[in-house]
Amino acid sequence: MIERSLGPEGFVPYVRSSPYLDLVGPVYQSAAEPSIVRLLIDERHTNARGFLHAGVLVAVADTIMGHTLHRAAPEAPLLTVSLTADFTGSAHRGEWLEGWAEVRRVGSRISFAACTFQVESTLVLTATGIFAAAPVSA
Amino acid sequence: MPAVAREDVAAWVLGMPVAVALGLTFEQLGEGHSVTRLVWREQHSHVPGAFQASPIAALADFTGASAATTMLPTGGRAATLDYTVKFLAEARGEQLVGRGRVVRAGRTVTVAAVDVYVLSGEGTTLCATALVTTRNLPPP
Repeated sequence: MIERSLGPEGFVPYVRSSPYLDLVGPVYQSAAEPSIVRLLIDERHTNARGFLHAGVLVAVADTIMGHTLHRAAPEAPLLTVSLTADFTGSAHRGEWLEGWAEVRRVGSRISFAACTFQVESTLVLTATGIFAAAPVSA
Repeated sequence: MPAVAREDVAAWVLGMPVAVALGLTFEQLGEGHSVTRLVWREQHSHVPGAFQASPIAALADFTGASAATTMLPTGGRAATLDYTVKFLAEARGEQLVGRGRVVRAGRTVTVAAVDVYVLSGEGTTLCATALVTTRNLPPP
C-alpha cells in the first residue's frame, strides 16, 4: 500500500494549491521542476470500474498550465479562456499519474500552454490551454 | 415523462465518487439531453463567490457525457474522448446549470454540445460552452 501523505520521492506537496485542487488532490510537484506533477489515483477519482474520470485530470491540467505560464510572466493573474483535452489512454485506481506543462507562447494579453499526462509509458492525456491576463485593479 | 427519464444513467454517474465530491445533481436526463446543477462550495473556487475553470469544465464533461449515454441502450456507457471548453464570462454566482444536447449520435462516437450558465441574484449568464466527444461502449 502506498502512503499518500508521503508522496513520491523527489516530489513535494503542490505549493500553490487551492480548495479545488485540495478536493481532487493531493497533487505533488517535482522539487526540482514545479511544472512536473504527480497524482495518485484513488477511489475519489474514478468511476465504478476503477477508471480515472476525465474531469479530475483536466482540473490538474488547467492548474499546472496556468501556473507554469504565470511563473514565466508573473505580472498579472491569468484567467482560463479555452481548454482542449484529448483522452488518449486510460488510467486506473492505485496508479501514479505524472504530468508536465510547458509554455508555448507568452503574449502581452494572451498566452498559450500545453501539458501531457502519462502513467509510466502510457499516454493518458494531452491538453492545450489559452489564458488571458486578468485586468489589474487600480 | 419524468424529468430524469433515464434513472439508470443518473445512478451510474452519481455513483462515481468524483461526481459526489464535485456535488453534481441532475435536473433533467432524457433521450439526447441532460441538465445538471452544481451549487457553489468553497472547493469550487479560488475567489469567494466565483467558480474557477476546473469545476466548470468538469460539469461540462459530465453533462455532455451523460447526454451521450442516454442514446445508448441500458448498460451502455459513454467515455470521454476529447472535449473543448470556451470560458465566456466570469462565473460569479450561487449555482451552475449545464444544458447538454447530443449533436450527433454515431455507432462508435457521439458528439454533444453543452452550455454552462451561472445563476446569481443578478440573473443568469452564459459562462462557458463546450463540445464533448465520447466513445460508445456497448452493454457488457
